[in-house]
Amino acid sequence: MKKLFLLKLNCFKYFSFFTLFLLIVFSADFASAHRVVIFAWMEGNMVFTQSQFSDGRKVSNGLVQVFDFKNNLLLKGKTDPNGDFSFKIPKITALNIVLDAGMGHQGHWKLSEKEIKSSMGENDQKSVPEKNTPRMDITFQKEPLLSTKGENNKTPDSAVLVDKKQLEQMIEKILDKKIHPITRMLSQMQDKGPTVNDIFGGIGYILGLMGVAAYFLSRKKE
Amino acid sequence: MHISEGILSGPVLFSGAALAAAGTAAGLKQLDYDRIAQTGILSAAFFVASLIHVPLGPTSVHLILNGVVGLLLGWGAFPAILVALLLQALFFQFGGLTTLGVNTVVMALPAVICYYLFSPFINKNQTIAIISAYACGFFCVFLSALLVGAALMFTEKNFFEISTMVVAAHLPVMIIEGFITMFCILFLKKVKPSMIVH
Repeated sequence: MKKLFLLKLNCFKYFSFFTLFLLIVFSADFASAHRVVIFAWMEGNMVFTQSQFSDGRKVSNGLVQVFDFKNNLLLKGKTDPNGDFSFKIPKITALNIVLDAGMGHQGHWKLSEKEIKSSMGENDQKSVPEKNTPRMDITFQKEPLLSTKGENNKTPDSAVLVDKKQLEQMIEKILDKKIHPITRMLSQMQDKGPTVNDIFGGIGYILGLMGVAAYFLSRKKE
Repeated sequence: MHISEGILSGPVLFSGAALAAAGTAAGLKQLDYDRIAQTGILSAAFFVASLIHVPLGPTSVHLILNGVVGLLLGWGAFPAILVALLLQALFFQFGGLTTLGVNTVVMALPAVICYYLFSPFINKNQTIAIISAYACGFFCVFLSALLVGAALMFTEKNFFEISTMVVAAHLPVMIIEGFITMFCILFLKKVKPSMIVH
């Protein structure tokens, strides 16, 4: 009896040594989650993407490929250690952004042509100022923004003309800056993983299927 | 371990689905009234196991448990794993509906193979049972990793490289699964030996 116990103990010892050895040798950072998610948003003519695994880890060095709607490869690149990858919109078309994190893990994000146009529209027209753009007159009665005090005395009623386009661009730029952290937060909230409802729902289905199987087999038995 | 949608080519998906269907049919044929509860419970265990992340150094791994499922169910592993994977795809978006067949084969086929390899030794004396239960959990994940490599080979064209990568990534899982299978079998042998003896 004692011999058997010692043998068992030895057995455990070998197992733990073997295990420890393997753990030390192979504990590098490998990807082994089930699912990757890529989330993309636009700011001006740039597309920002963020990629992460279902357990919240960022995808580092994942291959991101951008296809147009005809499945032609437009560009590709790798994510940085934070799972970020950004690129300039290559052309105005619907984009399909595909992330390949290796070992059969893939995620997609689609951007429609409409979204891209609405994000890019202003930037395109910037370079070609139109002649008949509507001008908006902003008149500063007492404290003109763009004049110094000295000038203020000379021309108390100076009117500053701001191109409507320019104003829109300015607002857009500021908005982008302000919204950036929110978009980033949203992208992180995108993937919350399975909820308790999902888990219990799944177990409920399995129990139900068990019931169905039991029902049919019990009828067979009779 | 779950292969996402849109990676594999048509023939791979089709043959995976055909194999999974055949395995499931065989499993259902063997399923008798007394083993329904066992199959269902193991299916539920498999369904939940993928959510358990074991923190390990800088990363975390998740359990698969196909070794235990195979050892206790034999061919019944196919329907049990198919149902669990279907629900995982629907509820958690792990894997996908088109890759359901391939994923089922990837996880259930090793379970059946390990059942034939190791179940004869489980009823032997304690030491042999411990070793074979550990080996069962270990090799089941190993074979699954090889099958993932084989499935991806047709799209990525380099079996050896992919397989080593997948196997290396799952080494911690193999080790942990080995221990879990070992403790499960030892526990069941003590508490409910009828579950193991076929």
